[in-house]
Amino acid sequence: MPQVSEEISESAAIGSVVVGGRARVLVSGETAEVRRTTVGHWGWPIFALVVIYALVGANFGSFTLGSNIIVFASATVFLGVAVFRRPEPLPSGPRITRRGTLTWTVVLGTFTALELVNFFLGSTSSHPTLSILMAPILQNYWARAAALFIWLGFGVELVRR
Amino acid sequence: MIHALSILVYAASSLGVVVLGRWPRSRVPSVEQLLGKIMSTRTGRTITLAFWVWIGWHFFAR
Repeated sequence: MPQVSEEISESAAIGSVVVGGRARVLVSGETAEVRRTTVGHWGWPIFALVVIYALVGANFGSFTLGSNIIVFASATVFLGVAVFRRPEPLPSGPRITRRGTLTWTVVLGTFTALELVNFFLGSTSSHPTLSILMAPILQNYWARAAALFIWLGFGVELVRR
Repeated sequence: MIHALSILVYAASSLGVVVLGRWPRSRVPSVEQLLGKIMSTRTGRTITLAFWVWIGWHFFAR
């Protein structure tokens, strides 16, 4: 079982929910806010690995063997972790309301519609999709490294769930 | 001009929704809550991870 807190023993903790980057640990029916130690912190080794991988990966431009290897090697590792890692039982957390679902549906639906319209209009300079917009930015080494870091970081957060 | 405006709209709307989700007493779920819900099922995990792989391939490899 992962360490919950230095102050609260593992046996005393009966559950936890994550609220705004911190964990609320239920102790004998009462709620105590402690530093989030079980989720949210990558740890320095993973952080350093992701930074180095992004800096190395950014050297490879699109349509190269190197860029394909960088993407598919990390995808294989992350998918492997997601498949074979025994997921921790997470508490249900705050309930997502119908209004919340509707808000996200409208946002994602608008984005998808915009992308589709621009795509079917030829994905040109006057009707650019996100790919067209990002292409010149990702030609810069540091922007590419930052984007690669964000993509990998998102992957780390996904497989931790 | 269209490029700069489009990037601005995408960035502003993304930031807006993220901030709205983290706003105290907001009824809009945060990105973490939304992903937590989606990733709670096997189908959701598979689709989300497949989409993540596709994003990486699309933007960095092709």
